[in-house]
Amino acid sequence: MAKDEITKEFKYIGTRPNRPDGYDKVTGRAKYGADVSAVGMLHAAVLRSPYAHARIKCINWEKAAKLSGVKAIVTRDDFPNGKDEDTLKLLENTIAGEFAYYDGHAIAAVAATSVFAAKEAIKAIEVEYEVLPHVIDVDEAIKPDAPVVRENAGDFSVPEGCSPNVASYIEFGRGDISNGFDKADLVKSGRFKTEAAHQGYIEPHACMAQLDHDGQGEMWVCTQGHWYIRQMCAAVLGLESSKLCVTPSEIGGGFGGKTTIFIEPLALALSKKSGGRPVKIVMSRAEVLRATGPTASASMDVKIGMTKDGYLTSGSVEFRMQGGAFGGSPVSEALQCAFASYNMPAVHHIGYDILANRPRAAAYRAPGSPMAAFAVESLIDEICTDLSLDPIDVRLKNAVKEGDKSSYGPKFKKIGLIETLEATKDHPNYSVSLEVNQGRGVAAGYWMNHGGETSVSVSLAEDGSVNVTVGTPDIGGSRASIALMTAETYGIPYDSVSVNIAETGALGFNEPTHGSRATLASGKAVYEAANQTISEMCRRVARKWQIDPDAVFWEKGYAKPAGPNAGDFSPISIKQIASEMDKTGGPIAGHHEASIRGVGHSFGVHIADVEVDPETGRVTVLRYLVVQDAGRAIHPSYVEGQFQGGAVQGIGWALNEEYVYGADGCLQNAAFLDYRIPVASDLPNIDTIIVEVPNPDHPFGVRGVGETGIAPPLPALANAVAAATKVRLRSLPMSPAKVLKAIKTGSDGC
Amino acid sequence: MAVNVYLWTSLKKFTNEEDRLSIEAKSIGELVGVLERDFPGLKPFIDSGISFAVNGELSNPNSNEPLPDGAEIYLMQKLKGG
Repeated sequence: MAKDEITKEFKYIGTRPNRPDGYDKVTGRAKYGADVSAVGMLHAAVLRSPYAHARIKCINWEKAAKLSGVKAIVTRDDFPNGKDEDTLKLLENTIAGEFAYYDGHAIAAVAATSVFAAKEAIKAIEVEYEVLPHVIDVDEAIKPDAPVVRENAGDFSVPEGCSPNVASYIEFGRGDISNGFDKADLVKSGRFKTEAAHQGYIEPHACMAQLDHDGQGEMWVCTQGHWYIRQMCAAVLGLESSKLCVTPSEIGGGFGGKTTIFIEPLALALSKKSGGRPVKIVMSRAEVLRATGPTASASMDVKIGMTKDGYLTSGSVEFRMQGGAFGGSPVSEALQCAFASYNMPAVHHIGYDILANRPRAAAYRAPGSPMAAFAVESLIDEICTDLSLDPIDVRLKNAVKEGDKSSYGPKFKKIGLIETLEATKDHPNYSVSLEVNQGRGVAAGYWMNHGGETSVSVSLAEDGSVNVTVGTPDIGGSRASIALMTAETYGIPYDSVSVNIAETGALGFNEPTHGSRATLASGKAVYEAANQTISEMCRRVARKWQIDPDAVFWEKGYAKPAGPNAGDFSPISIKQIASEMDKTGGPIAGHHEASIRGVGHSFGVHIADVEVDPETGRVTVLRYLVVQDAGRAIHPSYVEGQFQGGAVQGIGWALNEEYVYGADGCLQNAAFLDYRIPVASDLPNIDTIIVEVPNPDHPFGVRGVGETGIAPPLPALANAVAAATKVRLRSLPMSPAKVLKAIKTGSDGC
Repeated sequence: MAVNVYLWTSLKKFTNEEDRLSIEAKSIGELVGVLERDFPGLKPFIDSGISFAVNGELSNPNSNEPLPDGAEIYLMQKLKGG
């Protein structure tokens, strides 16, 4: 299976040691966002709009301020104005100004001596609203008579004549689309729709912040990226970035939703107004669902042509994605992913980012890719069915490989889609016999992965153990993977490496743990930093031996003479070198800062087997297989965990998860009881195969693995349900009611 | 030294309907300067944050690293990751 173009034998990489943070997490000792407290700390609550769209005519908080225990109240008046457009959107989403743009939009916040006192004070704030027309659905939002969400919201990319709710527009492609369709034996088209889905992290947003009048502040926060939090808070509050120290807590899931600010500036502003007392805010689940970013909902038109022997000739898509009241849907990424798995002569993409009276969309695991996969992979499956072609064989015929131009332009370097498809086809799940009301679906998915700004340091302790300091919070086991790469680089045991997540003052800027980048980018940077220290150790040993530094080399934890001509010296261990640091020149440390390049594109293929109850429409997942190219699995257990986690989130999105809005534009299912994410009893064992086609631009061959796995489940399940019922659903989620209606009426759900 | 610059289709209206440009530039930083000077309509897009894929490798707009002669450069919208 493994293709070892990077021909290194590893001692630690590829093993499965316990994660360094595991004991603290299973015993409850790990500190999450809400676990932080401080002497004199106040508790905050947030007043939120009960309307989907309203003008805020007046906020009267005098009664609330007089209540016992209330120490500070902030409204938009407490935040500076005059920011650039991006900052203004962040500020507007943090706390409403003239308008409330969605149900749950923050209007005011109170800090008090107890949670109870803060909540009572919230009830005492009087707000006079003028309720305005609202729009929720993405297609409704661009109709000529739709309510305008925000005036003049379209940017410079929007063509003349578009709806005022179009925030941005993009178009790209190559080849002769019409000619491609002419050459096809079968051309099919269709409209596909997906609902907004929340990231569904178990830990709600939480932070504790302290800010003095001189602009010095601290914050402890549950986040994927504390430099982003610092940057955004500083911009929104007009602070000097370096005066704000942000420390990340452990994190109970993020999936992209914790890469931006929501409550953090409120906590800082309340602290400042209360005389610098620490202020803690912990969101409820309802607040998380109403007011933090889900991903976008989407309406997508797709047209694909194929020859009767299975070659794709042409494809076009028009995606309309609703990103909430401030725009920011992942439509561009969705377009880039739409046909990325295939080498097609002609492709054309159009995308609209559309406003609606919903919370501002945040990133969600491979943003845009799952929706695109649902639309494109479903239609390819329909064509395969009509032409009686094997869906994996068709994908093998069209799969991109090294040197091919991607559908969005740049050429691919070494990639592993073909190996992934071959492994999928060889798996026993692909040949298990199915019974009545059962069906099998296959789909591919893609994510481009990301490098990003990264800063790390490495230092030797006096006993020869190694401290690694990174700025990417550990969400899915990155401490373990970084420790393994460090151990491999030095040739020292895994247990001799400690990986710390530093606060913002300890390192240069770090992008969040997003874009599947933590193991790839921090690992690459740590490799460079560790090699700096190895070079320094070799220099010191060379001085000791009185030979040229080039005559000393490093192997398996020891400095050794490079050969017979270097002299007859006994190897010196890292422990001995470290124990003599104070006498040989002082501390030994390395650091590396870079915009990390060399990301390895990642492809995955999934097989889903389902059974559909024809009487209730309930879909039961019988078997599920994830096959994905990891480049190199540094810690295979956590790679498998990422594969399984992506699959589970995709299964939830496909079958049950959706934002349900009432006619009043208010969210009707702001609780996990009604917003139905999958639980263990809903799922079969998720089988995994790790394909390893090493990324040639990473010292250990790593590709990001965190995101691709959420893209294929949506179409794989849709294809399986279609196979089981002989009815094609083109709208997600495939909830029992929708499936039952499809069985009885033939409705595609759109 | 010329590099080949590929634009997404909706930028053509700012480049005389050309979606491929041959531009003399030694670095991405220099290329950005030329694009903004010769095609001012591109500046808001560049300012809003875009990426440059140089021979398949993403680079940032301020990069002063030398560009290979004949490099294939795609302008791309900035990526959001989860």
